[in-house]
Amino acid sequence: MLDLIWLVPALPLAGAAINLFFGKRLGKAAGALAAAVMTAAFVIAVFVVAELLKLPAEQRAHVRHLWEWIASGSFRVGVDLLVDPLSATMILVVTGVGTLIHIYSIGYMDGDPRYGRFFSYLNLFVFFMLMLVLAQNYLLLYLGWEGVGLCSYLLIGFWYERASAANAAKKAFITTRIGDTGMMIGIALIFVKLGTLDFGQVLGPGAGRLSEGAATAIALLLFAGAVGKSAQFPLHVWLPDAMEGPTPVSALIHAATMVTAGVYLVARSHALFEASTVALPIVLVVGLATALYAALASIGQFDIKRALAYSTMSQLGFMFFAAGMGYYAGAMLLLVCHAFYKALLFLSAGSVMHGTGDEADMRNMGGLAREMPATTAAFTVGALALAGIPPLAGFFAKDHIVSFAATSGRDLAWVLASVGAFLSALYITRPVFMAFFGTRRAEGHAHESPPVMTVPLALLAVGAVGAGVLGLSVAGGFLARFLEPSVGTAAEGAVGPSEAVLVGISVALAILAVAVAWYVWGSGRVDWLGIPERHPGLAGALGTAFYINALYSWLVQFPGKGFGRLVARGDEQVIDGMVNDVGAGVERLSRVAPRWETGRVRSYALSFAVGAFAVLVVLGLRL
Amino acid sequence: MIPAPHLDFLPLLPELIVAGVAVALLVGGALVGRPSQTVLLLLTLAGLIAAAAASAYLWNWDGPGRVLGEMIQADRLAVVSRMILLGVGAFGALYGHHYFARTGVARMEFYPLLLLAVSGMTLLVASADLIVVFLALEILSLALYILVALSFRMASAEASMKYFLLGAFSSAFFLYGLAMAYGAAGTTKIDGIALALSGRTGSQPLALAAVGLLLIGFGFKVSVVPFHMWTPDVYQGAPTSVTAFMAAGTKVAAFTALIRVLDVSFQPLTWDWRPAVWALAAASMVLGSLLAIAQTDLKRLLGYSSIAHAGFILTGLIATDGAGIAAVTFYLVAYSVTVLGAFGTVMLASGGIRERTSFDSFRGLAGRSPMLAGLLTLFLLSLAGIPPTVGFIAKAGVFGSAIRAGFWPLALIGVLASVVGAFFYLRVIVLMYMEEPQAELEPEGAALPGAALALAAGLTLVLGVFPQIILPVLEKAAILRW
Amino acid sequence: MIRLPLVLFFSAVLFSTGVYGVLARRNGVLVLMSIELMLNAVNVNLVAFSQYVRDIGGQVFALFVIAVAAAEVGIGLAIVILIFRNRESINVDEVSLLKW
Repeated sequence: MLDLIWLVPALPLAGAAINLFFGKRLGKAAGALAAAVMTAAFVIAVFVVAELLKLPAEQRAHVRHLWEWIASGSFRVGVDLLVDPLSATMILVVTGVGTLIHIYSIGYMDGDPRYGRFFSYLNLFVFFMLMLVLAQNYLLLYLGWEGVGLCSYLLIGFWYERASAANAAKKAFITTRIGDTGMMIGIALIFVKLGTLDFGQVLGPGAGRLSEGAATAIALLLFAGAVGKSAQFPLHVWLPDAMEGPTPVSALIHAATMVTAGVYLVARSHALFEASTVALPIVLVVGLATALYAALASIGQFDIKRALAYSTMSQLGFMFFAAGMGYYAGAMLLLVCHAFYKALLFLSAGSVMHGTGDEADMRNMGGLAREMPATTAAFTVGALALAGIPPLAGFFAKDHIVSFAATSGRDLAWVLASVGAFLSALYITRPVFMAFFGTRRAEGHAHESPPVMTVPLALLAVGAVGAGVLGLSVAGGFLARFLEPSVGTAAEGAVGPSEAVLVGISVALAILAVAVAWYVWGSGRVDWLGIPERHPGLAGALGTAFYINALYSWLVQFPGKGFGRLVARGDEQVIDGMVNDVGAGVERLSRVAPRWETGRVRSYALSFAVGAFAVLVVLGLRL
Repeated sequence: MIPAPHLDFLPLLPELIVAGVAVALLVGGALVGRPSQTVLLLLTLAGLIAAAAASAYLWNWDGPGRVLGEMIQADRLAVVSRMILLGVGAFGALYGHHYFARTGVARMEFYPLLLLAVSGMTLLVASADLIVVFLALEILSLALYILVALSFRMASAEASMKYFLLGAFSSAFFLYGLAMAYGAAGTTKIDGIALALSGRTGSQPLALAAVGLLLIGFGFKVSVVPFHMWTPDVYQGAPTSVTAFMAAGTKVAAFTALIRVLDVSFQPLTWDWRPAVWALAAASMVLGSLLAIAQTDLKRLLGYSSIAHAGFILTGLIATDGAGIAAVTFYLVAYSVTVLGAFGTVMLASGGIRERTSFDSFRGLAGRSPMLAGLLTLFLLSLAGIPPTVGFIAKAGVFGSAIRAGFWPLALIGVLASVVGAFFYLRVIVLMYMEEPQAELEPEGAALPGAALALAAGLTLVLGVFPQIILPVLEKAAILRW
Repeated sequence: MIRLPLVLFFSAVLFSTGVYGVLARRNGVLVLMSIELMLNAVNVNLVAFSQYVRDIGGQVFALFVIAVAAAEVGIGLAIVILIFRNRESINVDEVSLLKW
């Protein structure tokens, strides 16, 4: 059974191929086909994991060698799939949540002219994501990493008729590419230092052989990739814009799976991170900073999907925070729970947009509870789960992480994480009151979505309620014990206040936050619609996520503009968006060059002669 | 009495067949008057297949390593490179048949010229003496100068003139280097030079000048910065079918000969030529990638991409061991397959003989012809080195070789240049999928080139997923005996 | 007997003159002639080395070069005529359709 693991990625790949070539002819069947292959992949994944559980804990790592990929000299890389607790957890999340989102998309994308294409891309994404988590070496992991980036790009820009969607796609691709480049160099460095990319050798004996400096460099370069993919500060700017994609894409790629790849990478490579003394603290600081920063920014958003996007960034920050403390099991628990409730939140938001004619501005919603009861219930459950109200999933996941900070003696981190938890509960209950309760602030009738969309919502809600069971126990919970062979156990000191006190504080903060949210946005006693006018500074800072986009734009544009003025003749185009500026900067640079591409053969000969002279000089230096 | 030398023509059989068919077609064509294009194509393909069979037979050749007065090399590197080149020639013939058939004017000289160019290329990879290297280079160049001019567009004549003037200019440098090598070593035999130089009987300054000038000559043929200026102009001006053929063929042939010259003849000077090759590789990768960004014509873009790729291949050449040679050969296979596919798609998508290859013609191609857009996307991804295409494996191979030889900064530059590269290949993909069509161009569907494209696409994917199909063969071929 | 360095110097000067000609001449035919000059500089070199190392190969090679140069000129003139027919000029600077 374990050897059948190759079927899990192969099925979505087959689905993608069929839909790519015959999608038009299949018509409506394209969606059903895509959902069917996903279901089959999920069932096989369940069987594989059941098989894995039958093995004794220390033998739970199975490598399925498919074929030798590259073997030239000492450079050997196989297409090897690794089934161990860590990858098993990931494939269950990817195929499980992925299946529900595929089913939901059948309803959501109904009537789109490129229906088959959409499911082809979505299946292809799942294939690459599964390759990423099942890879047994860094090169194969990189294949998945590159592939999900490409699919993310295609899906964000799926409605490319909208200029904003095409721009967002480009921005996402280029921003994550900055991190990916770091990661690529990191992987090359692993090969330089250890001569292999195999997890078994790199993470086993290899990590111990690395010098402190090499380990730090490798860990930080890999982390750069994680920061880009998981939208952590300072490479986070692409994620809010990525919400231009269809909502199921936001749910699957930009909430439940792809963005968590960074967390997976850190957990998987923890041996490398631990070989360095500074790598993990940096992960911790970046994670915690993003968690707080994005939580604040989320409070300033009026677009429901952008609010959720910042929330995703914040939650991912919590995951990195946990990983930075060495508490990988906690990070993974939050990853699993977050996959459920954030997918639920996004799909509910999609259901709202589906029912209101693509309205995403929460100022124009309000009072939707009456017309869309199922969606309201789903969103509320998701919000409460994220807010950390017991006994929903988010409570266990977040509480473990926050408590761990206290019990491991990181007091300052604990205080900041608690603030973050409070802000999380605040920003997520805010849309509940703004969109679903109170009075309707816009004309028009909203309608509830069809069962093909609400049934997946119900199933995800069950997950959002129940996933906490995985973390329910005194000794860290089932998931932590299951993951132990992959990531080890975190060294938990018994300092700080007792467990009961911590849980009490955490619950009290969550309830307080919900109460504040109700007072401001739900009770009708605060004129929150007028806040931007009364406090323009505050609203501006929060709404634009502290002007980071503008800052990047300025930083990139300023030298580019000056340079452009020097060389180009009045080439003064106004470009918005920082990534376009990078592109434009490079384009300007490359426009200087054509000065010598005159098209005249004699000037070519001149450059040839000069080059020839230079080559001879270089060689002459060897005399 | 002088004993008659024993002449063993078998290792030269592939060239004899190809050149023989070329001459036969030339003479026969003149006699018949107006021969059918299809017959010419079939005869050309038959010649190429016969040459491939003869070449395959030589894989297990157990005669002397060099024949015909030690002029021709009979090793496995020659066999493998010949196979690639004959394949490239077959692609070129198929493309050319389609390209010239639709003009309505029969271009019967296309096939003999193509075959002559192929024979020059295959001779180049099998040469054991610099004299043969020079002659082979001239055979292929002279044929290519005319092939480039074979269309009625003014651009075609201009491209031919530029290619010819600069080509002859670079030949002179190459020849000068050859004379220097002769002066330094007292011989022009590829292995004889190595013996003389390692025995310290040679002259160091002359040898350094020789390796430099030869590098310049080869650098022109494979379009390495700063000898690259002709590339975009010629690629754009030449008939697309010829561009496809020369882009793939010249690189394979010239790089294989360069392997012999650098890794055998000047192997004793390895530490002296490495800095120069390092600089050329870095400059090509960086400038090729940067200059490509501002292009607005797909054929020019592919020209700049070819410059960057020359840099990537040179990166692999820095490592002089067998694995490095195998990586370079694999890269040549990968590049040939991909670039043949890319230019083939461009030929079919650019609307007939007028060659609308500016970006505007490719806007919204996905709507008009999803198949061509999909194929071009695949080839561009392979050129960009995105897994799971063959381009990725090839890049991993050459960067791996450079790293193993201790040249990781060069590999780093290569990685960064690839990142920039992905940006401009992506731009073309964006054009095809995410923009509305502007020009009313009807992409052509054609059976023969279509089948060739399908083959190229299949190889791009299959070799990307299962490179082990050919890697062991290439590794066996990478052992140079001298 | 003339000493070798002197011949080498002479041929280097001849070669450089050729390079200069290619760079400075606008007339296509003159550019061709300059290239011929470069090739002949190499021939001088080859023959000189042949004498110096007492090996006949270099002189044989020089003959090859002369033959190839003739073929090259043939094709070169054909291309120049092609250009002339198209635009009534053999000024190589005017042929700059293909550029950025």
